[in-house]
Amino acid sequence: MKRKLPSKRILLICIILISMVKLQAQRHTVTGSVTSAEDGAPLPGVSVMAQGALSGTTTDNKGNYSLSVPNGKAKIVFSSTGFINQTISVSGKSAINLALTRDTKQLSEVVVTALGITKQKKAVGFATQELAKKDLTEARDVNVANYLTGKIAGVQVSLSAGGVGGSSKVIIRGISSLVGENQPLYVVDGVPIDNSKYNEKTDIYGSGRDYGDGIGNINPQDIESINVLKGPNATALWGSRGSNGVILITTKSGKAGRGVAVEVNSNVTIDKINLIPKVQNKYATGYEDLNFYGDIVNIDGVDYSTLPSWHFESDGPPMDGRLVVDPFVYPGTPPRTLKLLPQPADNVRDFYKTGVVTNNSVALTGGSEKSSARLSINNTTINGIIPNHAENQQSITLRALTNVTDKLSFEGKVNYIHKNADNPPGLGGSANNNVVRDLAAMGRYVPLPFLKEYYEKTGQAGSWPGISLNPYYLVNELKNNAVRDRFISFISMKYQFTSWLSLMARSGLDAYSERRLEKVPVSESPFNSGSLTDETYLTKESNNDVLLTASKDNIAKNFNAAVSVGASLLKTSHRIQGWNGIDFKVPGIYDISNLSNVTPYYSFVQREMQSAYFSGDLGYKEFLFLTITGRNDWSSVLGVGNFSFFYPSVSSSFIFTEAFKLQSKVLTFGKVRASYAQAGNDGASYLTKSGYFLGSTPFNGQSLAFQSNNIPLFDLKNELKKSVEFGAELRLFNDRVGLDVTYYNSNTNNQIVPVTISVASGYTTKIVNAGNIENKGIEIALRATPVQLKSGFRWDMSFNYAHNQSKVTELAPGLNSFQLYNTGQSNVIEARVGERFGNIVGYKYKRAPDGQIVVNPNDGSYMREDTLSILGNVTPKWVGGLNNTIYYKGFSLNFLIDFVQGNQINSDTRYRMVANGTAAFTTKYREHSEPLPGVIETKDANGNVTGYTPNTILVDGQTAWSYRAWGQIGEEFVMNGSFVMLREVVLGYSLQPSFLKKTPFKSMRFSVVGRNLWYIEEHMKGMGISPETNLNTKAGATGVEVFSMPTTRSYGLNLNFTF
Amino acid sequence: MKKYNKIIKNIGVLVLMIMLANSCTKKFERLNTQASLLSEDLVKPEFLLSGVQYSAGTGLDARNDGDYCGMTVRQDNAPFVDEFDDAAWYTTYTSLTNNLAAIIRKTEADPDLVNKKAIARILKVWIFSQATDIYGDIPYFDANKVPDEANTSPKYDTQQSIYEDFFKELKEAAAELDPAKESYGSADLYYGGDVTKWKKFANSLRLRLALRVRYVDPQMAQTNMSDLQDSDLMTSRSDDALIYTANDIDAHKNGSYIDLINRPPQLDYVDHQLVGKAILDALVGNSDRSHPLDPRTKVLTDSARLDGRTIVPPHAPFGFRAQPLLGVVPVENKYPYGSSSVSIYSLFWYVPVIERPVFRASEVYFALAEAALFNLRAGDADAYYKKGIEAGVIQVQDFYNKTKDQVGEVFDLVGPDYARGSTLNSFLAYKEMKQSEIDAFLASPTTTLTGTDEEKLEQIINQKMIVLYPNTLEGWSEWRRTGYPRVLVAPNEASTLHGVSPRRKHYPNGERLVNSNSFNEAIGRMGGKDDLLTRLWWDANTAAPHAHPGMVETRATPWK
Repeated sequence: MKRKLPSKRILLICIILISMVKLQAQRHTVTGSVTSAEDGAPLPGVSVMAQGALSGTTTDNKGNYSLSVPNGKAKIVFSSTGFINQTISVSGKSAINLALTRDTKQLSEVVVTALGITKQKKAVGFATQELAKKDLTEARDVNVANYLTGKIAGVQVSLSAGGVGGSSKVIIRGISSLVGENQPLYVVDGVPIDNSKYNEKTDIYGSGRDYGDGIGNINPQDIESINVLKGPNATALWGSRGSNGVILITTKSGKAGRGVAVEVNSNVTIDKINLIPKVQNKYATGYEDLNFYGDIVNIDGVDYSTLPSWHFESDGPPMDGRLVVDPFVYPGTPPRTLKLLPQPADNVRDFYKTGVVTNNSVALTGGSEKSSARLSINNTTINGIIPNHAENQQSITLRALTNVTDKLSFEGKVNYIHKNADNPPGLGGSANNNVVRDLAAMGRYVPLPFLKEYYEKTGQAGSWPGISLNPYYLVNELKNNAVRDRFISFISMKYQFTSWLSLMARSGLDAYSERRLEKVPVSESPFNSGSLTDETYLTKESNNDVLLTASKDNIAKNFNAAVSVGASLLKTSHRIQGWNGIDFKVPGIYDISNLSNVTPYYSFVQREMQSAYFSGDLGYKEFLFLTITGRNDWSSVLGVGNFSFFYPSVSSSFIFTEAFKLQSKVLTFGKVRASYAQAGNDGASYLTKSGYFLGSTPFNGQSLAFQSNNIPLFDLKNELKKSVEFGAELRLFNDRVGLDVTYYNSNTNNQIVPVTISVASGYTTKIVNAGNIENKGIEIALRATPVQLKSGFRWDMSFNYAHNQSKVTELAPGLNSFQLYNTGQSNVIEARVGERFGNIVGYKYKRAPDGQIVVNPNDGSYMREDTLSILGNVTPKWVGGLNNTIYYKGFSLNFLIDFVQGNQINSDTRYRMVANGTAAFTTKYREHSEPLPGVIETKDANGNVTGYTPNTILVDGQTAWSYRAWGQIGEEFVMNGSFVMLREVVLGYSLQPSFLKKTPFKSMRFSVVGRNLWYIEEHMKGMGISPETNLNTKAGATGVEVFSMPTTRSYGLNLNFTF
Repeated sequence: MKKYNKIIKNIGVLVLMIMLANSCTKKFERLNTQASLLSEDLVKPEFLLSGVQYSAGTGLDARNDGDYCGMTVRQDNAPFVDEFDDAAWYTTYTSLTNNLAAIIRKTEADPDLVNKKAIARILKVWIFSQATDIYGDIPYFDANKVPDEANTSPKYDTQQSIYEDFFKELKEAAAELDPAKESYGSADLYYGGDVTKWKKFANSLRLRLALRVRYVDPQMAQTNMSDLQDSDLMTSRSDDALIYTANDIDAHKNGSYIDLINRPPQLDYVDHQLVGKAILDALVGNSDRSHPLDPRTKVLTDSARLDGRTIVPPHAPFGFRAQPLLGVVPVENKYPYGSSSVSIYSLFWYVPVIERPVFRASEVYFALAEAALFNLRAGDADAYYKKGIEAGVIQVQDFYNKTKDQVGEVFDLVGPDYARGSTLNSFLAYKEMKQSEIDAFLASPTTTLTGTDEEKLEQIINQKMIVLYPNTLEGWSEWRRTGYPRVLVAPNEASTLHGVSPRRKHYPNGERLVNSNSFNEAIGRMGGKDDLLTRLWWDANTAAPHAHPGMVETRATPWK
């Protein structure tokens, strides 16, 4: 505590903080500095530990350290990623300076693998990929999961349709479960956290909104590293939860012996709308033919037509300045005329605001020789682009570690999160819920400023041509709120019996409550009696585990071995309690007592899993490694007698450059690896029993009971994924280039499928364990430093590419296809035996043999085929990213481009805007002056097609466009979902240490950041919508676009300093 | 070191505890059982019976069946098309007959529970008879087993074999009913567990079904009719099986009332149900106004202008009736009573607590009249006919009395536009069926059968339509069976059904996919087509349907 502190308050906090951990008396102190053997530059961040100790210290920015060791005979181990470890005997010295040599063979690099076991990277027999620290803090996104976009081979991240603050959907190596979980398990500091979503929007109708997922609560500033374990081969030790990969998040902790440090990070970004649906500006609302106009009103002796308020289609008269009855008046205003002209082309864009996201955090770290702690406080505020959408999240994290003795240590963490979300945007296809839908279908002459004024003056929505609900009324009156209070915590104890044997016991708890309120006020026009929903979601996940680890080098000549044995107990519960009431007695009082009709509801879902596992590693001569793991799970959701499941894995790595002494300047390091593993997915609770349910409300005093409509599977088994993986890792040109290639092939059997059966059986579905989805693919990660100059100029690049093919090889007996999602138009997303997973199935245009579209001879509209076809597929063929960073002096410039290719999107926005005639391209054909390009069939007396003649039937707009929607020509609404996006640009500058010397600061860095900046290529330009969002995180809803929030570009500033 | 030994010991205990827990999966079964789930042992027959009666309401509803038989009017005025309507199918098997099968399973071993079983058997016949009358051959014997024995692709049984079983079931169930034994009590929402009334219900239902088969199998009809000669039938209003909606939560209230409060306070024909021409013809008579008006007319219908914007005061005489017809027809046929008016349902249909008729005695009289007329059962057809009309009048009078106190709520809701010129009291006073009006009507020629047997049958069925109202499915079945009432639909070449009313419903599309073998076998019996115009087994009256006098024949009758 010799360091001069900047303020009394911080000093006070530090004292409190440090007093929480036990201070120990000093014994023998060693100080010194560590440099790089290559160029003599100081090496910061080098781990300095007494041999056998659990913790030590690290070097500071100047490479200096100070370490207390038990006695003068101790040995000190110096280690740093990318350098060869050195062990130095203290031999009574009080100063040790040394130079570390760069480890070009990467023999000492470590990675965190399953159950938090740290392994030498060279010994790992499967693919893992770590997210670099710099990727985590600067180019901010509110949801940590979005940081993975484009950076990890084989990982696809999709944004929520609800925009900022919403959930992320992360899919690793393709979708493998029909109805089960497909997202990875998130493990924070060794303890799984809950990432479930409640009441997800699952269809295009009705109301729904995205209140965010579980991973979104983690404060990015607390994260030290993220490691992605991509499949069963890496995650078999998580057994029933491991089949979709695991995302391991390690949070920051204090550094023992490092004194007190304060880190401040401040980030502000603004969100500007990027893409917005492209609308036409030529025609007003109304219909073709006789219903073109509504009633005739006489104004000053002249008859004018009205544009009826119940006309939702924009197939009306041209907006050419003609006079009509003005609908935009207050009640009681004498009839007047309106010159029918379009509103400014940008008026919809103007409805939205500029979003602002700020994130500020302060972290204090402190450490004595034996103990350390880190306290961080974070505040994030979101002001969305939709008026009144505001969220804020505060989080406080305290993480502390203390070595009670050389052998015994305790560690604990408490993370409290408070999140308040006001009015996250409504999702789906309901115009009474989703303002995006209203604006996409709104008549183009509707003056938004008048609607705003009308709402503000009358408090009513009013009734307007082409608009279901006044968007200003919607965003100001239909209020929603969700408040989440969450604790993520763990406490662990580690006892080091000997230098090679240790035991860890840990207890983790993730518990949160979320209260959601939804208010619909009483309104007169249009009439609504109002409603109020109040519900509380209680989630609890507790994990208790123990792990005994033994690790010994040279157990026999040239053999090293490590064994871990462990057990764990997992309990989760999800409780929903709430009520929904309608019909307010008195407007404006939002209380249960003010409702005429209240329906309570309650649900409780729980599960338990007990597990025992082991992991064994064997190494031979630093070049051949073998790992065998096994885990047995007993899961309560499975059938009686089938609770128990065993998941084995075996992996091996062989460093051929070491074995055959092949190292050279060109080939620095070479490794091949292979593995086989099984992992599972244990499905939902309550699938093994059936019976009867009582209706929640008695009728005339009588209880009502009904049989459940599901035939349960009494002996339900786990979904089981078996995966084979081969890979190779090469480092070339003195480690300037690194290449990692992986091939995998997995089969997910025993899919838990609710098969639709004949309802005449008395049941609608039957649960079966059947089917298989095969995923195979290749992942390539290339890393290079193309330029590195003495002047300090360096250019690093990394490129990743992943190709995945999901194929449905089998479904239940007698079941040929399984509907994953019904888009609500004619198209469905399905899994069909022998086909790629996620086909969009619907009707194609009817075409002549030469490819021309066949026209209906009766009205001149396009015809469709009679049978369903595959119109596309929602799963991408390949995803990847290219990341570049250029360093020069204190500057760095980073830009990330990511891409998704070979997938299609089913667009409900396109459907609606074609049906309603609001899309920009629907102005063609409106003047009855041209026919649709195509042919008309000629037929003989028997109705057989004998030939084709060119179509000459002149059509109106409705026939040309709306008929495609009404006629269910699904092909029209399937769009290419491929894109290339400039995802991130970060320009940063770190102040030079020489300059900082004169200040209290240890480091200071400014960056200018940009996110989601530019679609370099995308195929939905004509629509002005983004291919990136999907309606929910379920497997079937991938590639389902339903009036997503407009995508935004984010620009921001980041400031980080420590002292 | 002592301290550390203790810690190590504690760790050891923790490890052991967790290891021990691993061998303990005993509580898993309980953990994985939904708290709200009742096993078949625990669920009471009472709960299931109330659930079935509540869910069934007035019975199954095949969409648009009211339009097919002229009871209601399709608002979009479009010709009938090939439409799929799976609701009745789903409701039958997954809300009704499955729960009834559970009651029968639970009660069949215990002779003390014989009434509970018998009542479930009767209700099962009632539900399945409607299902087979909608679709034809349906899975019957294979349906509704317990989960582990469930037949997931049940075969379709012929309608004939199903009807044979209906008669057997009803006969046995009626015989089983024993007033000395335990019954459902208040859980029976129709009769409060009154076994005597259930016996009448069973017999009357058998009468209805016997009449149904009289054209295809006169012997089967006759056998059952004779069998019922001395059995108790439903004869009075108190025998009616009715279920009243409840005024607690929205889901329990009259759906029309809920629709009304959720809409702008305005009644117009776009939003509201319209009374069909067949009913209007029967109520008002086809001809001159010299006949006294059927007093039920004003309780059942109100007037409104076609444009829906202006409401004629409810005091106005009934000179306004008209209806848009289905299909492409000349305007003079479309609006035979003038082009600007139509009848809507009266306000009485919109009250929150309303009678939902299941089966009423009035129908039984018309069945008896027909049976007597065609010598299937002894009796005086004319007397039964007259009693049927009387029972119908009493039925409506009772309906009026039970709903009038609630009309005020609706009257306020629909607003001054509707009430124009009248107060609630004057409205109710006008709507009341006065004894003098009833007497005059009952004395009118309408209540006497005249003409040939076939003409008498037409009068019976036309009057029967009024008392069946609003049970549209039964109306459609009667129309299919007898060809009455004469429904005015326009021949229409362009429409898939040529402008005629369907004679059955398509099977649900899902059956084709998930139960294809059984489905194809059933379709094979119908000539390979799942066609709306295919006649059911009992639909064997080749003279039906009968042309409406207003119908313009443009082509040969397309129906088969």
